[in-house]
Amino acid sequence: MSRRVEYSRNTRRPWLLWAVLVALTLGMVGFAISSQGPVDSDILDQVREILNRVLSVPLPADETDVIESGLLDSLGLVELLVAIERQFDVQIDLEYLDLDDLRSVHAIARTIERVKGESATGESLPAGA
Amino acid sequence: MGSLSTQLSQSSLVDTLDGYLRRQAEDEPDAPALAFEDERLTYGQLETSANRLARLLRDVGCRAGDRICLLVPKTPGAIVGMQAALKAGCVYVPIDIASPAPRVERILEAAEPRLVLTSQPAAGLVDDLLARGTLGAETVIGSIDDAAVVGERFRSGFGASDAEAFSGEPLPSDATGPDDPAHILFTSGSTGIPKGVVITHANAIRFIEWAVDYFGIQSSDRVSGHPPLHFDLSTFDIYGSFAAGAELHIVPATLNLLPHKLAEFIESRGLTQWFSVPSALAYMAKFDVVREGAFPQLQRLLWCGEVMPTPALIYFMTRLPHVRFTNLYGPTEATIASSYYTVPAIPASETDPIPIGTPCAGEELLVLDDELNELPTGEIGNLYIGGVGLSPGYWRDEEKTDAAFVEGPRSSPQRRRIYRTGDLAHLGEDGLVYFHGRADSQIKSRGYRIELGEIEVALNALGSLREAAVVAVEAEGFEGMAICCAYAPMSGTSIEQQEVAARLREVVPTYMIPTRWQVFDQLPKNVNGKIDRASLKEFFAESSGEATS
Repeated sequence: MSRRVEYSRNTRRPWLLWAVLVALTLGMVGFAISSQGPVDSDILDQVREILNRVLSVPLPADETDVIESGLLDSLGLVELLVAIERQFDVQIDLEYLDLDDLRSVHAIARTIERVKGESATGESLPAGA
Repeated sequence: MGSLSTQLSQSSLVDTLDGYLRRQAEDEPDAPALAFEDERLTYGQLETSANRLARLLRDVGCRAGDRICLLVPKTPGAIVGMQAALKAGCVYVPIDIASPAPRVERILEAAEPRLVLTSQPAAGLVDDLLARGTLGAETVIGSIDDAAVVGERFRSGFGASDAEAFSGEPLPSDATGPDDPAHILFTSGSTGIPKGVVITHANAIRFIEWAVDYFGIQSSDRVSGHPPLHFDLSTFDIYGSFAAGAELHIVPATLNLLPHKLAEFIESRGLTQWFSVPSALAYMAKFDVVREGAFPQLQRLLWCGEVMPTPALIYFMTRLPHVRFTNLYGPTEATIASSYYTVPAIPASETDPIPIGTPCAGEELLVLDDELNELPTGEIGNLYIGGVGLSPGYWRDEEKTDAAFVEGPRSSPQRRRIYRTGDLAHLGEDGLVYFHGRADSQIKSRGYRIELGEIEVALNALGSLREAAVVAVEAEGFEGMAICCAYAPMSGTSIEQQEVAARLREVVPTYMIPTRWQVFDQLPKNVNGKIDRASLKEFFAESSGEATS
């Protein structure tokens, strides 16, 4: 009985419902823009394969935080960078990376996409890349 | 023993390690003591917090001589916990929280702590330990965080903020003296069981006194705190800084992956002293993170724990002409370091060896043959250490202690207690000692001391391998030695190398996992029918040019 009362209360203020819907939509669009769409699944696959090679143990899951878990150490990072540069034909400058750029399969794939995008436009790369 | 205590109280004015903090807090309570990320603590604040926590520790039942295990990341709270443990007359045992539960379990079983201090990042590990039945009902679990630590199976008995109910005044002095244990550091054991090296207050104080004097550490210094708390190098960072009234800048472990960030840290904090294992320095050199004229405020760059690759040393010395570079050498069993060598000039060649140099005050280095006779200049022999740095021995392991701490040298009328390092060395014409590697299967990799036997025991215990052998070869990179595993699966089965690695990771820390693997039907044997490790080393050394794993 009380539910029916609440429902009828909402319909008395339809503008509220619309405002919420619009806000939600804008929020989702904003989120999609900021995350630039899904990562290329081909790159994801290749990164996953590289990580399984360079980490001392196989990658437990795509979501694994390889830094927090201690799986990626300085040795693995060096091998990871060499493998990425070779396989994707990009130059990765460690100086411009943050830990978040390397945390997971997803993060690394994003980073590669970004670096490839920058190299396509000729920005942010040292000479001879 | 009595005369050592007397000497100590005359020279250093502190007879236990917690005396340094207490002294500084009395003299200069507002001076900065600790820095970590955005947190800053003065000596007065640190002393007060430690006094409060010490009273709480006593209140929950800690008594003089009890062990307090620290399952914590390296933060100011951890330092407070260590000082509080000492003030309560207890012995602290720092443990690497990145170690898997089975290994931590062995340490806890040996240490038999009254209390475990932990922090939220280690909650998962504590849960694992409780699941395995390691921590008994009598072991109190406390938190160094303000709030209680909460896991799936537990909630710590107290948080650091509970200590505020107690007085922050110094505790009345207790019976703890310089020859009592201050902390126990567990290191890799070749039989798979970590060995606990007992370090007394006097052991550490003697080194600290020498180091503060030799390096000229002053209250205006800003020193790095880079090595983890379970490395004895960190003992120098902490108490060396406290003894001088300097400011200790704890280096967040997250910076270790990005060498540019490490360099940025040194620069932005204006560090005057940097002390780390050579691997960290070689990593920075590899990524060329040091510009010429960088680190203008840096005065000293020190390293210990591994051989420093000469190319990396040349890299740093060339770019930092205003800095003094010192090599420190010494096993945990002789406390932090036992010899030093300040490099007078940029080495002329990349193959020039850097000597381990001259003994620190009150210590001696002896090069002996297998019968414990002193060898003449130039001859390579076994390196023994004598003097004030010698640990009383391994925790509750008389057999291992007696095997490593012996009486010598035979060629001298005054026999005394000396420690067999297992390192090879020779005394040079210049009077300096030169290091020549290990006589056994202990290696250093990325600054970690590893008994290859520990890894072999773990591999054999997996139950899926018929044979396994672990050897180490020189790696081309910065990490020192590469760990290699030769294995044969159980007859009629096969097993992926990656699966072996994954199962191994459940019992040994990541840094012990072999980076090179080779499967065999049968491991090569020598004429005695034993695994031919020499030929395995050759095999792995030859394949180093190819892709790993």
